[in-house]
Amino acid sequence: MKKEEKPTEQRNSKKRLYNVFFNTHTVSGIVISVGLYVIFLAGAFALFKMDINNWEINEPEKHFTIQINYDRLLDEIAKEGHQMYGRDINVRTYENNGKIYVYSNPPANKISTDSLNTLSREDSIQYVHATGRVNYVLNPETYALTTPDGSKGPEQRIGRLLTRLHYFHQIPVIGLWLAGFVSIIFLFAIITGVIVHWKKIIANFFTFRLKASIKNLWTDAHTALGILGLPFQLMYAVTGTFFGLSIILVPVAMLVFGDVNKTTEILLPERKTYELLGKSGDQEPVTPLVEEAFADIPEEDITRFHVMIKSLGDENAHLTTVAHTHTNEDFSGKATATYKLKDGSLVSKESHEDSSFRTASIVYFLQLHFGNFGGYFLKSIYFLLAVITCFVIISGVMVWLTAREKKAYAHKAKFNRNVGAIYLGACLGLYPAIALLFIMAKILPLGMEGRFDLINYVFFGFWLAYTIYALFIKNYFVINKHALVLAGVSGLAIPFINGIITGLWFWKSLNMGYVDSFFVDVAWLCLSLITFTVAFKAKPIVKRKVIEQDTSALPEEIPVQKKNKAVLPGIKEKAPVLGIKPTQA
Amino acid sequence: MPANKKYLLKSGWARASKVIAAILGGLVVSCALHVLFGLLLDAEIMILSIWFTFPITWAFVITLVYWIKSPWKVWGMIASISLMASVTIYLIKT
Repeated sequence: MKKEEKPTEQRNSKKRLYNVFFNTHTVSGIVISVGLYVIFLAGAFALFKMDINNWEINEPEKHFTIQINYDRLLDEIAKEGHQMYGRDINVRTYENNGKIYVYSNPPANKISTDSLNTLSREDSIQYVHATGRVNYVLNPETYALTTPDGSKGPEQRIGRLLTRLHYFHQIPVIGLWLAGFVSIIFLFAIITGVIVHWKKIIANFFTFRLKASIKNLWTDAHTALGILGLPFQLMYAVTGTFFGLSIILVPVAMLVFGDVNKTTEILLPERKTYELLGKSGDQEPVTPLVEEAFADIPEEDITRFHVMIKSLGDENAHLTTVAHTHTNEDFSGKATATYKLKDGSLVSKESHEDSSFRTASIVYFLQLHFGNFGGYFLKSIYFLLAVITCFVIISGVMVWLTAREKKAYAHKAKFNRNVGAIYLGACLGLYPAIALLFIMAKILPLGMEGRFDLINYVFFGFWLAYTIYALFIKNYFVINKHALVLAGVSGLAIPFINGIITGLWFWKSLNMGYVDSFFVDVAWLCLSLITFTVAFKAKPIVKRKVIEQDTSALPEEIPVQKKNKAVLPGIKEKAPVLGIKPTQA
Repeated sequence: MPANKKYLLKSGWARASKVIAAILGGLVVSCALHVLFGLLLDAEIMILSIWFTFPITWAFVITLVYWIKSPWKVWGMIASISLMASVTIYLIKT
């Protein structure tokens, strides 16, 4: 008796697990679907953030110089009327636009409102200027300091807008955390997806039934492409969770170290701040030390650098340099050096070839997430995989919706249809909205008053309007097709509008050194052609499927369901794994 | 082809408690394990690898919550791990 009972119990618990994970996979997937889609599509474009920004303002690709006279620069900043003692001065580049940014946050202990109250109005303005934020772009030849556009805060660019959309920055306060929660649920959905498909994982990977029922088509697309993108998606689920919810470092660090700053010291040692001792002291000239720090890296290998002069003018002043390199040998490619400015002695140095866990761990994390280690080719593959992931999300929603078109769900048919229309409208409407964003970035002149507000309104307005339009028409096929046609038309217009307005036609721009302009134009040209192909090719396949399903699905599906109820649990196990029909067995 | 309802929890309260146990419980358990690792073994290694160990531990706990059938057992597990961690942290800190 006992020997016979055990297997059924085991089988039952196996079945429970299968059904539980199937259900959690469905529910968690549906809950995060739209958010995850936005994250992946906006993120796919955000990979090229720098190129898009340079494309928008027509900057040629230019390599910056690392030959900067830092001591002269410090004098120039002081001449602008800033109080220098105790500041942390940052001199850094972002990517390939040749610009060198100089900034410094106000020293925390400097501004006190008490002293402001006693000053006259003009004096207080001067006082705020002297002790406030320093924010300039440096001309490395003349050492002239100019204010970056958008004098309050950083420049508003569409690449930046897409990056912020990527982590829901537009949602106040909780946006980033929400993105983190979406990521952790995505990680769970990946795990449950693998569990559910585990038994048939290899067979499913090689299965793509275009001519079976429409649900099988979606199911096969979902599983095959899901497995194909698995490592990529897993990496993004993990890194995305930590990006979104790095706030958990606070309680962990408080309990382990009793001090939050300690984690920064471990993760990003170059960000370490140095206490002011209150005694001003002489300091060694900065320029030779920076030259020494960068000496063993060829200048053309440096992709960006960051020089920090900390606690300037104090006895405890330090210099930290960071250089990011880009060669085939080093994946992490980050060189740091720290000097004590009092006597010019070396405190610590890490070579860009050092890839020990201690120096490389967090760099690997950033490299993986931003795809910064393999140039345009790698980023294009990242883009493709991100779009594939978007398709996996959409096909998952379609499996869910198609499964609910059966008679058993007739009482909820209207609700399901509306939910489906909103989901698809919100997801698919984003692509034409992004294309429109690029067009507006070119049509609206750069210096225009309120330019970016207008861009914001039109972008989000169009997206919302498309969602409402989708809810109104409710036909999934039409929602998809109209979104693709809109995106295709706008996408095709982008390189031509750029050419007409700026004269940087894509057949000229590369020779003129406008690599980013060329890349973005050509990318949109390719994207729009692919979009058109999909928009017009998709029609016959899907339509035939719909007709086929209408005639054949109902009589076939119902008996299967009835049969399942009647047949013993043991035999049933053969049948119902997602998408595999019992008729095959 | 949605999952067979026979195998799913029927009570809405039980389901809600599992969702909370998965998300919040997973967060607490993952934090607690990292703090324990940091205090007992190597704090630096813990902080350096937290970017991947934290999400994976959390997702593992969520999976475990749904793997275990009874919500009571789930909460028992989360409570005992948290309690154990709290006591250990308290003992180390004082």
